[in-house]
Amino acid sequence: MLASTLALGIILGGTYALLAMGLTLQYGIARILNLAYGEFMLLSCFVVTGLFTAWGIGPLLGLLVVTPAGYALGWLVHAGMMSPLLRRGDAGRLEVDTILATFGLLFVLQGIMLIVFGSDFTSYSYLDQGVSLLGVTVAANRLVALAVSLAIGLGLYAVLMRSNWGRAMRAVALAPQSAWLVGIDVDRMGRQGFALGGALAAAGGALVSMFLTFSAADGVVFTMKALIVVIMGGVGNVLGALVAGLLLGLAEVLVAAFIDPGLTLAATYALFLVVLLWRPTGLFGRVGG
Amino acid sequence: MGYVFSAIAFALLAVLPLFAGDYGTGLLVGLMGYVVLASAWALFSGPTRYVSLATVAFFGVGAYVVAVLNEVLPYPVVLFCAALTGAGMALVVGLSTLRLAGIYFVIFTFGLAELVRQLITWFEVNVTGTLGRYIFLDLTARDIYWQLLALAVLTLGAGWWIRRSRLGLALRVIGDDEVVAAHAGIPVARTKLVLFVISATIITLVGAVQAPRWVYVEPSIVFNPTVSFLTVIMALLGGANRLWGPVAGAVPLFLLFEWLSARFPDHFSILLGLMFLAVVYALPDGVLAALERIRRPSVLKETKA
Amino acid sequence: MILETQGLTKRFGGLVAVDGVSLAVRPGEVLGLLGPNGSGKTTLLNLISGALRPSGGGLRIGGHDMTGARPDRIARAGVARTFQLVRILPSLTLKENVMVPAAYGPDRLWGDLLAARVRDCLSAVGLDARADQSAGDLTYIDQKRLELARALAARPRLLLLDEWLAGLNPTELQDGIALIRKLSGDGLTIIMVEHIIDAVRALCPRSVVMNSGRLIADGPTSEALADRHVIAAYLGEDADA
Repeated sequence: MLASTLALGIILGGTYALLAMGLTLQYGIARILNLAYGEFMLLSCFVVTGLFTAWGIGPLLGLLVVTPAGYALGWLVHAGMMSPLLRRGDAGRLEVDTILATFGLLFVLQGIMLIVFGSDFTSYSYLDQGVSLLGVTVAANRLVALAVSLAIGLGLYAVLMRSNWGRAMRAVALAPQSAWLVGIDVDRMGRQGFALGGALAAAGGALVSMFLTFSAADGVVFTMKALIVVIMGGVGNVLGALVAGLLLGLAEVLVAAFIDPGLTLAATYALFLVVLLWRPTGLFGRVGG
Repeated sequence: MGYVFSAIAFALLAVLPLFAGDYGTGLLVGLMGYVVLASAWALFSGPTRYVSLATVAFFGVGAYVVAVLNEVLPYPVVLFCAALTGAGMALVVGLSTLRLAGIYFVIFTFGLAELVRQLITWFEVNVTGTLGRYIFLDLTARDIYWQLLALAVLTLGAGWWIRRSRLGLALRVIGDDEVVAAHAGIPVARTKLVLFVISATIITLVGAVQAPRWVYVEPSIVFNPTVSFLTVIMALLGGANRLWGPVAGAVPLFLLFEWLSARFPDHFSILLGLMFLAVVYALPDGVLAALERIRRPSVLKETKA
Repeated sequence: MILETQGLTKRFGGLVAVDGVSLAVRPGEVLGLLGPNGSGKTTLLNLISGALRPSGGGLRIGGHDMTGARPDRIARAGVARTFQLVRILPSLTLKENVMVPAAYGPDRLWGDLLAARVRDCLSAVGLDARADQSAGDLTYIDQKRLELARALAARPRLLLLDEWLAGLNPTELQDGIALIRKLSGDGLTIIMVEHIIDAVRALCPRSVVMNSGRLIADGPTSEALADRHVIAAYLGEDADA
């Protein structure tokens, strides 16, 4: 019982970590809290589902389609919606303005998805046979999703830590006011960070669509969980997001198994509120390693 | 002059339901509810720039207190209990969150509404065993409207008084720069807390007063997050930093959404989203400020927030 | 004594920004607070104004213990300050900017008294004609003036100036020095962090010098500036030998 619960928690947590990685990049590097993040993911869920049910294109191939599309969409949103706000140059209002703008985007995207895809729950069957792992049976699609999530997450971490581009990204996240002094184009990095966050959101959507039943109204729940992980892990901290994601997954599964399934979401929010009050900078501090 | 005009306007509003039919009175109740919600929201969030998405948390708690107590206690006592509960909750939330940066406050309040809803749902299902509750109070729509009108007068009166008082100046300073505020002698945390509690208590009372309209109450009805979003957009559209701004936003938006949800129920959220975008990109200080700018282009600099 | 600190200390993680500073300031003094960049001057000012809580040591203002007090309480006890990077309230008018400490400071004025105080303070810095303009539209120099007017509006007993003269052109500098001299003549106690040594010589009979968070000299300005440790601190540790 405990072993299978833990396994489920880790698998769920891996997905949460992936969910959050894009958001942590958008917030950490572009300094924009994208409240429409969940809608980006959901859009990708629907597209991947469509590709699979209409043309039989598997979600892993679909992933290769939606990820660049997510990058493009993130780039467009930043160029079209965020840049005008950044150019206003009123730092005090920027935060509120970007929140309200992405909030507006959230409702517009949600509304469009409701009209196009309807309000029913959607899912498809892909690799849903059970696999026995260390005496615990889990669905194969969850394992595949976890493996791909971890690969993407660790790959991203390696790129951020090792490459020059990654170093520049981290410099922008750490010190946006002084990064330009060493020749970094902060605005361009911000846009790339935001677009990359869009790509990760799309990848996350493609992966969760393999095993999750979703509806057009679920974006807010995705955003909320991603936010919880981002803040717990420390803004802009990719490895922190990974650890925090695992913690959240475990917490949810444990509460559902040992206390009351009806309290899962409440436990999530409670955990989040406690972290926010106790350590608003995250369990592992800001940015970097 | 202004007083006389306001008194006449409120008198007219008070007799309005005598001439409106059932549908009209129902509409007035909803409208007046949002007028108070938006005004109360702006009382705190306008000057401090802390965007609160917890409106429905307090609103729903107000309604729930009435649902739980309506058969046990006399109505005025029930209202008093609702106000007390709202104020207590605001005190706890305020004490723990108002030192957080604005962005975390937004997320916190968003999570708070959901947390309260989940907890009450769980409590009702597992402890009391009743998900829904009935409210049997002998109150007509007209009675409810009058109570809401009184609450509106109270809220706008409070807003008017605060604006002219030391407290109003303190709030505007806090909205600009908390460090300067503290160094000028303003007790920053206490000022924010007082305003948050006042604002949240009024919002709780709106939920309590409107509760009898539903007759049947359950968490998914009274904790509908749309209430929070509508309140925010109404206040911002009119201008959250002006006394009459939230009213100027609430009236047209309520009527617009009422009309749209009857005709295009599926397009509600697109429209809500577009409203948010309009406020950010076209009307950053609200409709009233924009109108003023059109009338007197020379004051553009001075009305800049 | 209007201000007394005993072993005042501030640590940021492993860094000791202010290290056991003991300092006493008499009413009416104009004290220069000097030292190289990063020596802890602004941090010390922040400890006195309550912007930072001390990690150790004590702070007394006007004979009352204010150790660990919040900035608003210290402000109400009669301490006002300006900031190294000017902080005006951009969405308020000049008049409203100056109103704030008068309404919330030690005197808690309102109504006619408040209006009179605001007029006085704005005219003291030569901004009275523009009282109803938005503070966000001022030039940098006028923002500095406004910030001083705002500090004066509290009618403080102790004024903390953090490089208030920095960035002024020579004429403005002369005006600024004259203004501070006049304030001092009215009996105001002033502590000024300043890099312009001529201004310090002109205004401050006494100076204290900080280096690496410690007080390394305290005495008449000319003597403090001639102190061997002070010269070493400004020129770098090598000259100490």
